[in-house]
Amino acid sequence: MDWEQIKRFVLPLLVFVVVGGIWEFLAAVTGWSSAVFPTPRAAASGMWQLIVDGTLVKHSVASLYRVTVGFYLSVIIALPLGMILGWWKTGQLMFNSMIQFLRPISPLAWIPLALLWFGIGDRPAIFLIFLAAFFPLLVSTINAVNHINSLYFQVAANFNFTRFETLTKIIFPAVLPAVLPALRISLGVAWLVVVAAEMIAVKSGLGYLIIDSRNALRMDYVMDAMIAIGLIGICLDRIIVQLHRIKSVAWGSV
Amino acid sequence: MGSGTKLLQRVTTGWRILIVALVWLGIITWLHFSFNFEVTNRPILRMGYMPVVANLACPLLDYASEGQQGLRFEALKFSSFAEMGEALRKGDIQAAFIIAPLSVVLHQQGAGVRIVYIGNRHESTLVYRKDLNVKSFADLAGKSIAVPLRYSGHNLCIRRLAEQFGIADANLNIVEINPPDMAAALAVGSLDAYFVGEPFAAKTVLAGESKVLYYVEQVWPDFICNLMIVRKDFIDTNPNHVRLLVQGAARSGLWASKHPKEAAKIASKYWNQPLEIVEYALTQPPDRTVYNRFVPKEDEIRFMADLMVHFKLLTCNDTSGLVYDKFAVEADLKGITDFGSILNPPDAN
Repeated sequence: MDWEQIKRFVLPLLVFVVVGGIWEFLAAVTGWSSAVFPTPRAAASGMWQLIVDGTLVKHSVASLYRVTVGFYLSVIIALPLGMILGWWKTGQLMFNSMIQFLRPISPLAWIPLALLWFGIGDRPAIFLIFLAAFFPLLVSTINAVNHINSLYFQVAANFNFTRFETLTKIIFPAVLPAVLPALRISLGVAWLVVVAAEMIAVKSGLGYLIIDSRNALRMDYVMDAMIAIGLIGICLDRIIVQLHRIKSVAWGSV
Repeated sequence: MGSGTKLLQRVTTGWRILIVALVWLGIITWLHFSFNFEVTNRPILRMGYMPVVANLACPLLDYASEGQQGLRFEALKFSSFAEMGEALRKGDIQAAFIIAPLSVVLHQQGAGVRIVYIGNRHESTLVYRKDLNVKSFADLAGKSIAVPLRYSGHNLCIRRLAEQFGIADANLNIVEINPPDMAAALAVGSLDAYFVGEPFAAKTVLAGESKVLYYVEQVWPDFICNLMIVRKDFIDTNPNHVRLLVQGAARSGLWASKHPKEAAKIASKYWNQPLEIVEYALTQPPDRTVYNRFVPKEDEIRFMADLMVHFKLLTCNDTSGLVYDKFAVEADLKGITDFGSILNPPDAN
């Protein structure tokens, strides 16, 4: 292993260790009981319990399922819609205000409507996750289309491209370099919203685990669920970052 | 050609990504449905509840119907009564263990609900922070007292006590706090007292952070914390299911009265509360919880509605048609021995 690789692994690990030390220090110094603010050791033993009885895996799977479906839905809808609206300037004019109006409304605010439209269980949670990921993606895509060099459209006209060909051969490849970072952010937001989305009557999920454990004043489980969310978040991020490495996209780093 | 192969590469990469994405979706869906779902072709009756002793029947019924045949009772924990009411209205749950005054509100909103069963009584406690010098309710004047909800028997009880002790409205500081947050708020000193169903009061009592001022039965005998409602149209379409539900709930309560420690073990798992606290809540003082007054009575509910009107929580005290006691009255309570007998009365057909 060369020095570069060691650095890439050890330096971040060092930061984690220091933060863990600060946590331990705070737990000792603030005088709150371990039931209210658990020490890293209490959290670690709770984590072991959760892993061994399968609870953590069960809940992680549930959250990952909802985020997967919600995120996929938002990509399938936001990307084409964004490309179309970005290209169709009149449409952009018509819908932009509505988009900017809906965008800042927190997914939490949508909970009563989500319950009304989708009942209880996975579907309202997926809806909230979809909402959270949809708007950033839509806005970024529209923005990316707006920044396409108009020369490309002239080239398309020269080649007599149909609308579909322009969309798939000019617009889509042109927006990819900007859309991929947006995908990364959207996925992050979708995973972040999982706690809020699972506040509704679901019986599983890391968000549900946090709320249920908090209601039972099992703060060690709360910390463990938070840690699990963080760790899975890192993995998701690392995976989606791989998309940046695709040669055919890397050309247009903005 | 150079650009041709690049294009091919790009297309292939795109397809590769798509395939990986679909495979992941397949895997995570399969995992989710195998870990988190119970596959059954038994009819399911979903009950919404909050984790208090008044609703002990809910986890007990869920546990009792787990390995058996026939109707499956599924307990669904909610974190707010508003959601529970919504879910009942939509039919996502068929029964709701709801705080008593809210049933009157729902009824007057035309939700078509019927009270079929009263949850265990005498399971609420008024506790105060131990460093306060509180001898009677009069000493709570001006102090912050938490109740779960304004539409709660606890709120009504506090206001009655305030009237009784001559505490003016201006001197009465009632706050609405979610039961799990009450214990934490009291412990850090941002709350002076709270009145709630067990085991949330036992939590601070056992931790030495609070003292008991009143057990609810000392100030309001027959106090109803939660009761069970179902929709009238569900009674019309599935009367037998409702019959089994009410009968099972009643029988589970009577079983729990004889086996509080076992009941505590089951409840603590469902509620995600430590066993000692649940056991304490169910057994101290001994024979505290009343399990056998589960038949809903018109006059009790009317009395509660009158109080709600008196304290301006409602404008009208109409409760006509809300109480439906047929199933509770006819419940077969014979032969309750072991846990299995809750759903299997000896001479069931």
